[in-house]
Amino acid sequence: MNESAASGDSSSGNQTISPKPTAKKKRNLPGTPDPDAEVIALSPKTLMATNRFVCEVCNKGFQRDQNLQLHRRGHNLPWKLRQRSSTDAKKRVYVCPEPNCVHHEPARALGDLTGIKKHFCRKHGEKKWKCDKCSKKYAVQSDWKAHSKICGTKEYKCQCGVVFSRRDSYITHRAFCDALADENAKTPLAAADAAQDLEAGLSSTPPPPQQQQAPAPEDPPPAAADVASSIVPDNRSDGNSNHVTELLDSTSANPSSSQILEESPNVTSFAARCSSSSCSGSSGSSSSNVFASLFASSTSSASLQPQTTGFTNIFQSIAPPDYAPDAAPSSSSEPVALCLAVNQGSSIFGNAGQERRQYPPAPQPALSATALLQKAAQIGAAAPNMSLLRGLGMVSSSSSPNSTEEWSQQKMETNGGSLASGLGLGLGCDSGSGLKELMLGTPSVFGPKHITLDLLGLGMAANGGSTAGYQL
Amino acid sequence: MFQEDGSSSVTSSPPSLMSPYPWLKDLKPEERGLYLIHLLITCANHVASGSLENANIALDQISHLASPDGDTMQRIASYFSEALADRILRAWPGVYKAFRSTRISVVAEEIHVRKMFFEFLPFMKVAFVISNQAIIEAMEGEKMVHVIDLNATEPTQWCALIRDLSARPEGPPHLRITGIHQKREVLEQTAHVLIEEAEKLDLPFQFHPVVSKLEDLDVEKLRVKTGEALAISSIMQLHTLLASDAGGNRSPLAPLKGVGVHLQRAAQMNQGTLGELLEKDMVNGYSPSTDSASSSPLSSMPSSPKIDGYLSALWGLSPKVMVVTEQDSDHNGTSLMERLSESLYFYAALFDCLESALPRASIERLKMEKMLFGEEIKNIIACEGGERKQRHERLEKWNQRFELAGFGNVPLSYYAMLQAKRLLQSYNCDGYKIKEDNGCVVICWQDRPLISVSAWRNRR
Repeated sequence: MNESAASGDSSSGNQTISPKPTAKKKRNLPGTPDPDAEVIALSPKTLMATNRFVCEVCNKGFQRDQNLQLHRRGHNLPWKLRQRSSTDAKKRVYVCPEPNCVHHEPARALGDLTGIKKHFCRKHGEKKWKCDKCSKKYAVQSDWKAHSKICGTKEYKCQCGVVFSRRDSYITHRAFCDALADENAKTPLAAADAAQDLEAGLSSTPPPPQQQQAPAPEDPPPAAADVASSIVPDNRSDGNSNHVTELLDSTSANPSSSQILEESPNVTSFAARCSSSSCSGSSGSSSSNVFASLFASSTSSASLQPQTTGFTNIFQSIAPPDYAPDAAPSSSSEPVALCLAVNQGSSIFGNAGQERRQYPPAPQPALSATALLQKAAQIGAAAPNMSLLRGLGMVSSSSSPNSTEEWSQQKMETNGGSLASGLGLGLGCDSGSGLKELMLGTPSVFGPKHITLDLLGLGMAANGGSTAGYQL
Repeated sequence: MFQEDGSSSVTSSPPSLMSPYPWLKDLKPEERGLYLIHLLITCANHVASGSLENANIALDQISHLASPDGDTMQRIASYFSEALADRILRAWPGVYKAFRSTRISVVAEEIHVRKMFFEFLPFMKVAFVISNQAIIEAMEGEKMVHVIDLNATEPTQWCALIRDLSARPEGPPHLRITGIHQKREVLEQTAHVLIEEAEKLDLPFQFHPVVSKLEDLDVEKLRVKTGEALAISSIMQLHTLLASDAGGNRSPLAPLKGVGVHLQRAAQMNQGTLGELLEKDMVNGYSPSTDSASSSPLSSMPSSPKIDGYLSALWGLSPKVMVVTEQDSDHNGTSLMERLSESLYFYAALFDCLESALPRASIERLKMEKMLFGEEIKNIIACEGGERKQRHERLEKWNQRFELAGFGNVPLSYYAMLQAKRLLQSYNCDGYKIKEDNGCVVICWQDRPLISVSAWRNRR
């Protein structure tokens, strides 16, 4: 007793630190640290000590303040000392002793002693309590109790027969499950039936606490969500299931992935539903209808129950999952796209290093503006000035078919096609060479006698312009 | 005659049959597109160097090829040429003001356009999803949550947050949202929607409206209490604060004063000396007509006390997390040509996104292109100083600024990425890509980064 009290004394520090970062008037709101509150920083030992309340007179420790007061009476203290000092009666807030912790700062102190104890145990403590059914460990006994009530009560069963107790492993499995792939390859109805069976297979008790789901009434939605998520990887063709595979593969290195998947199944289910809705219809107008309702909270599909929670509501779709095998092939050519890629300083516009950029064959039609800009940059850099303009088919005497031929001949990969310099008109800093070319080549390009000038209209129209005049 | 499939080479804008450029009719769409790019750059060069006569000619040519309801490149060209014309016209302030004096802005239309941007393009949704996920993760275990929204126009984000918070296992926190906007009515509308949502879900909720311009925001007004768990959300707002550094007391038309002189010179010149004029102008640099807010065009980080001060003030609030969504492209270059090239790429990508989302005849698409992108383009190209609000910058630059202000990056969780990816997948469009860059998420269109989302907290 004396030992712990002594250690408590020596290592606890009572500091009154104003948590205000700047001088501001702040009002006191219950639950937030009062700026005038006393900030107590306790050592880990003191925090965990059972006898926090220590008598000043004899250093005896007590678990409760009331007990301490009762004890102090016995010391026959004079009237003044008998009263609690005003500092003691003040509101106390506690900081976490762990220096790397957010709550170590007075500005982020917690007002509840039990709270800080639990926090310290959970985040910085050893997990002594283990669930007997699964392998989860807890540092706080109340957490452990809460979990063991729930553990094992909810199970997920895949079509192929494997049973899971954890939702994230179940979802991961379904992404890969061969049986499901075969199943859904046959008919969309089979998929829907499978989904129905799945729903039936799920038990109806509330899910474990790690998953952020509200209790009982929310259960059918998660089940339905599983339906959707189960359909997602499998409704697409192999190309897209590769997506999911690669997605999961590329991120499987992330140690916290499984935990995070667990966190908010509502969100997963929304996402899944989104993807499943995407299987239906690929035309712009239908997808716009789907997404017009995406943020509507009032409607839901027949197979999916109305939601009141989570992200599912934002992205609720009304289209039932349809099977669209043709939705996938176009994307199967770009499985890499979904992987977590490292940014390579994606400015297409000529980096300082003028690094060579390979443009992948654009899946979009060549008329897209992005493709045109890339082409312009490439071609311009490859064949500046005259040949460029000829290549553009701008020479009035040439007919279009010829120009397109020339066009394709000139197309080649260049080093960092700077757009403006490529088109024979200098830029500022980056394209020094382009600028020089321009300046050297300027007379020929812009010379009035040259045929190419006609194309820019500088020759002809300049005549017209100056005669017609740019009247102010 | 204009045809949907774009095979026709003449645009639908009233083509003058007496066009001085007859060959333009024979252009194939691809050639036309490339020529438009060429013309735009030519024109911008002329504008930058002050040779307005040539710029005029280029614009004239563009007018025969560009059209707001043509193919993507035609549309882009029409908005860029409008922006260039706007820039030129500012040299005559009287004319400019008269020209714009009868402009009416319908607020309902503007709101509608933003709604459509939210619906048809995934950027806002992805930003919301990631931001909310970052906020939820940061607020784990918190009983009092205070969120500050630097532009509270779209309540959907917070509806979703309310739903998520009310569903978490430890029970809903007391949620307070402070919304900032210039117009009281918008805030009232947002408040109404959110309060209704919170009541439905029985989540203790308060909405605190702050009617203020973002740059004039008084941090005291936010009423942040010590120790409360604070989250700050900024979606495409911070770049407007960079304008205050550049602008200030400089009139936006000042840089173009020298242009009038050039114009007269140009008008007097005949074609023979055009080349020389161009050379001379290029050698002399762009000084008369470019924004000289920055001392040197090559400075990597021009001093920007306003934004730094602002970020410091935000840092001083000790937020648990600050989630920032910004356009990821450098539209804040000092020279017009820099801005033009970067914005050409950027808006080309955005126009392509719209092309993939909506048909060409779609009114919604036209409105978005005109009222959203067109106005941004105009601002980037035509405005200078304090008036140029659309000062987008690259992600690295923003990261530097945040770190300078004392923030440390919070890598976005795998789960947030997963949700974002799934959301993009649901748009069923190949073009969208999402990638991770030092803990930040960047949404791209075909390798072109468009929007970045990142989360920050106070670094100790």
